[in-house]
Amino acid sequence: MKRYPLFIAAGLVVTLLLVVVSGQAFSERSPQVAEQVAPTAIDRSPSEMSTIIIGSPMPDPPPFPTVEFPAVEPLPAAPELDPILANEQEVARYTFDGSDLDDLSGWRFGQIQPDPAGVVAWSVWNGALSSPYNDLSMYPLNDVLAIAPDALAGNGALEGQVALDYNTHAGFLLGYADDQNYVVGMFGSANAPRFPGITLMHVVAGQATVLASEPEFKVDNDWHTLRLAVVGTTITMTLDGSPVATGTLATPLLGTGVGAYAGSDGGALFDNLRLVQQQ
Amino acid sequence: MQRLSQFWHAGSSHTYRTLLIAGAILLTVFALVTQAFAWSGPLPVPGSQSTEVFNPRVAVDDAGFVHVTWMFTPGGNTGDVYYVRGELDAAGTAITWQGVQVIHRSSAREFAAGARVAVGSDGIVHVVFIDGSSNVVYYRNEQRGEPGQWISEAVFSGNSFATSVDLDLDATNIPFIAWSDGVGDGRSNAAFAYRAGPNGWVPAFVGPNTYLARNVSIAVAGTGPAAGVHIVYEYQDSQNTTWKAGYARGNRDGGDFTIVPISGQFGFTRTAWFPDIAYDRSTGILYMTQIFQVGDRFWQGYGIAFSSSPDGGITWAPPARLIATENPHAGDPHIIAAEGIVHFSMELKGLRSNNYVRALQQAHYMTFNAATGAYSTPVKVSQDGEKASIVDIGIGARAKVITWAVEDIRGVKYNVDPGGIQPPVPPTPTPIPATPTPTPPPNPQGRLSILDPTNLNDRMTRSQQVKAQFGIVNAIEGRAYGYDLSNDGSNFSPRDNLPSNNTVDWTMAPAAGVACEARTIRGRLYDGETGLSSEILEASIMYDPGVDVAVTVENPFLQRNLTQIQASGALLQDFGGAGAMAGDPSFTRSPFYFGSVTRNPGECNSIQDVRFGQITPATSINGVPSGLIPIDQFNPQDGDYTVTIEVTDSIGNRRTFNGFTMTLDRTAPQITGVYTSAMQIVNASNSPISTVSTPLVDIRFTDLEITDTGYGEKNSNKPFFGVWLANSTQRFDLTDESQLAAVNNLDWRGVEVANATNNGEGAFTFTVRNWSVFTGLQSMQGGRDQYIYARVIDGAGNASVVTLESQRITLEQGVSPFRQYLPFTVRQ
Repeated sequence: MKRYPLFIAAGLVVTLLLVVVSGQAFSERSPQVAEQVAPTAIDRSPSEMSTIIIGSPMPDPPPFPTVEFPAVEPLPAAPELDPILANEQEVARYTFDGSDLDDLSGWRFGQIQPDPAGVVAWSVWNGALSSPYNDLSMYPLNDVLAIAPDALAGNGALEGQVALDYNTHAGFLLGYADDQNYVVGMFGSANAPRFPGITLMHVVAGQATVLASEPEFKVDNDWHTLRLAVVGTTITMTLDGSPVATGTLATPLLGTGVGAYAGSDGGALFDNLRLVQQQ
Repeated sequence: MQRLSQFWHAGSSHTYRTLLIAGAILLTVFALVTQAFAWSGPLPVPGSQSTEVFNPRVAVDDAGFVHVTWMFTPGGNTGDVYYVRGELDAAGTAITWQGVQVIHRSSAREFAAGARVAVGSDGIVHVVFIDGSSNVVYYRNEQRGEPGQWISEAVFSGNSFATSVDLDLDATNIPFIAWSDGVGDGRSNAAFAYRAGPNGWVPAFVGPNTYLARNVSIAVAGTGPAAGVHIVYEYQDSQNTTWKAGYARGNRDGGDFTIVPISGQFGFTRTAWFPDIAYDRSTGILYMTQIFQVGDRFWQGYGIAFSSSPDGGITWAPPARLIATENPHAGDPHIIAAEGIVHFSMELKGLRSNNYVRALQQAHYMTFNAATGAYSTPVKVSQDGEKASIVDIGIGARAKVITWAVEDIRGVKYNVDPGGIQPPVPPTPTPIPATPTPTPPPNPQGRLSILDPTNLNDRMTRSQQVKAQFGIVNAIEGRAYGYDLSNDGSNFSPRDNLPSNNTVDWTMAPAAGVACEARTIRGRLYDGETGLSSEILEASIMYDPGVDVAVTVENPFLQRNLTQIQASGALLQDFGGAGAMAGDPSFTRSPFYFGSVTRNPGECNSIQDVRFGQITPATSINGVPSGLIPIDQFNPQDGDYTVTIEVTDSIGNRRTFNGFTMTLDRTAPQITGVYTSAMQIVNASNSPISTVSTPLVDIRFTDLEITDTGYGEKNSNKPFFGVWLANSTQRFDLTDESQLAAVNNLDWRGVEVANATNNGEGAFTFTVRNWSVFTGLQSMQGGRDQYIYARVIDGAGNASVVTLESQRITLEQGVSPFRQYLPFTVRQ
């Protein structure tokens, strides 16, 4: 019994220490919130823009120090596709021969989230279709879409060469109706912040349902032959000749558009695309 | 924007003499400090490692506290604001971090904006952000960031779509907040508010009433009602247009703001973004940075445009263009200006192919010394192999601290350098000039663009006559300038006066042909007063002088054309023909021909239009209108048809191809006279044989009388193209019409007869050599009797009605198909 005051005192000390330490380590206590009053703003904007008088120039770097940056071997040209399957017929082919600079006539561009700033265009670079950095977007992570001029009605596939420059993801679209309705089969780098490995996804009214996913699937940064095929309600994704994902659509595809899908910050290249229809 | 303490700006009891001595010493030190960095990291900010962390910011005070905020988006649906405080050691080389605090939880909108942090000389920590409902929310902590001491105040809540926010303090530690409200309908504005007291925020819209605005930054110069408020922002005139940088200048209390489309006035016609602005109180100079796109294509570079204003933003110097290289690119610079030094934090991004390599996107630091005009070498402060973004800098008396977001782990990292802001030199009556007066006068500096005369783009032209457009970046108002130009870089045109629009007509060297050629034009600017010239300026443009294509007009039944016709999806019907897939390329037995246009490697534009006569092909091959083309006449009769092809490329070049003639010939050749023994399988001596020991045989046709209209009329010396051959293990009675269908079903192969002797009376003798007796047969074995049948074909592939028959040959037992190929014919 004589020991109880000692235990009680020790317990109080320990409790006090825990309270202090926990408060220091991670405080989520409610702040003191003052009365929330929303002041009104006055408009001090002028009726027109002004010009300024340009003064003496800033000193240019005399010379500016060179920034040493490591060079990286450029990606080689995309390999040709294998011959068309016996039961399929080619509908269209897109080769992006690189000499047309921006010639993507007939292609349309989109993004997964409607954006008041508009849609950023894709480009042709060095013989490949190049996904853009969606810097136009007001939102982060607004992945970009490129819709081909031709459509696929019924069974068939979009196939072609896809390369990722480091940590991003990219793939093909089928059944595209608009930016909110399509199916996408894509692969991502191992360190991609989103969609690493294999992802097969059905997007309806902007809501994505993952049909198949294999995040641990490793893909390097070279060219890979991607094929996304639809037969009835079955979507099959093939990478370098091997099936990597299969899914069944719960609802029919709402459109017939086909195209490319890429992460919001560029880094994906597409080439030698071929749209085929099952005979 | 400022992220440093103003501790030394508070009243000082030191004498001017003491300060002058200290200042003189420190001015000397500054030149060394900018190069003598000792970054000790990088290291992670404890408690920030999450995949949902973004937008870290930092401020450092003179008491040695480091204040870091970031946004946290669990599930990507909210914008919680986190804060952590660290304490520098006495040497300013290491930081001891304390517990992470949650300042604010947001739950409404998907993307909140901010947060920004600043700390004043009084130790008060200020944090501002846009909450999930577009409200501008401010928190202050008057106990240097101690937990539980955060007090929130509503700054403004009338936004439709607030997109960014920034924070600065004036010299008396009054917080000024700027934000952008990106409505997207022509009413988008930058706005600001300052704190007149607890909950006494005074907000105002400053412009520019544009389509969209974002990425705002604010700097405050001076104090009191006349304090200068300087705001930069990105704006978009309309949807899908490039972002530009704008600048707004006004006083704290009263009066309209002056709105300046600053990136355009700096001469940037392409994307300009991530503007930042800072004010150096010691010199009275404002500094502005923005990222500008170097060329039309993004991989041509993004540099930092760096300018200063010594007079409160009334005039701005033509900007220096920093790091405007193809590799690396610069991104998102933030600057702090104090004591004559501008401190830059920024992203530098390395490229592979046309894309940024995440592992090569690194945080860097550099300085500009206003007194000397010198820049330090950019120093990498982040971790190799990790993508660094949202790089920010804070400076206090002990150290400078740079923070950034590490994408792959989505945490915050930092680096610290003990070179902090030193005590101030006393204010001088006149500001230190940012731009020393150039003596002697500077050479003109500028750029050159070569433009298509019609649409003024600088990528492509089909005109030899182009526009050469100069830009003078250090133009002196009222000064006349001259120019000269050269197509080859050595022979320049006589110097001429540059017109007021800086644009002149220029004739490029003629094209060698119709293929595209990349042209580089060089030019120089001349100062009309001093005669000084610029360096040689270069500009390139692709010159497409014509349509570089190959055109084919051919017999559609040739195998090579049939393949493409079928690939195009067209159906070629063989009206009345026998289907021989051989013949003369300029003949057709159908009222169709094969027409194709193929781009040569020298054609750099796509083909927009192709017309074969008046007909545009309904199909395409390799993206070019081509395929099966009908003869451009209703119900065409047999005879010659001239085909003219007109090809137009996407840039407007048009080229007409003439000289193609297709002959429609639907009449089969005829075999007349006695032909019953005209066809014999022979040995090397041309003697008929009855047994064969190899699969290859020679077939001799003797005195075969052949006539043909169409092809035959044009080739009187040999009025047939060749023969059509078929093997058979069955003998047919060619006089029995009931067996005709079976004969027709044999596997017939066309063989061109290149040379045949004419006896002068229309009888021809020739030999088809090395015909395989197994061609077209399913069963290939010796030890059986076989027959060969033949018909004569003309250039259009029409086959004779008469069928010839060889004698019976017996294949010896050992005959086997070692190889099959079509034979050549030889002159007899």
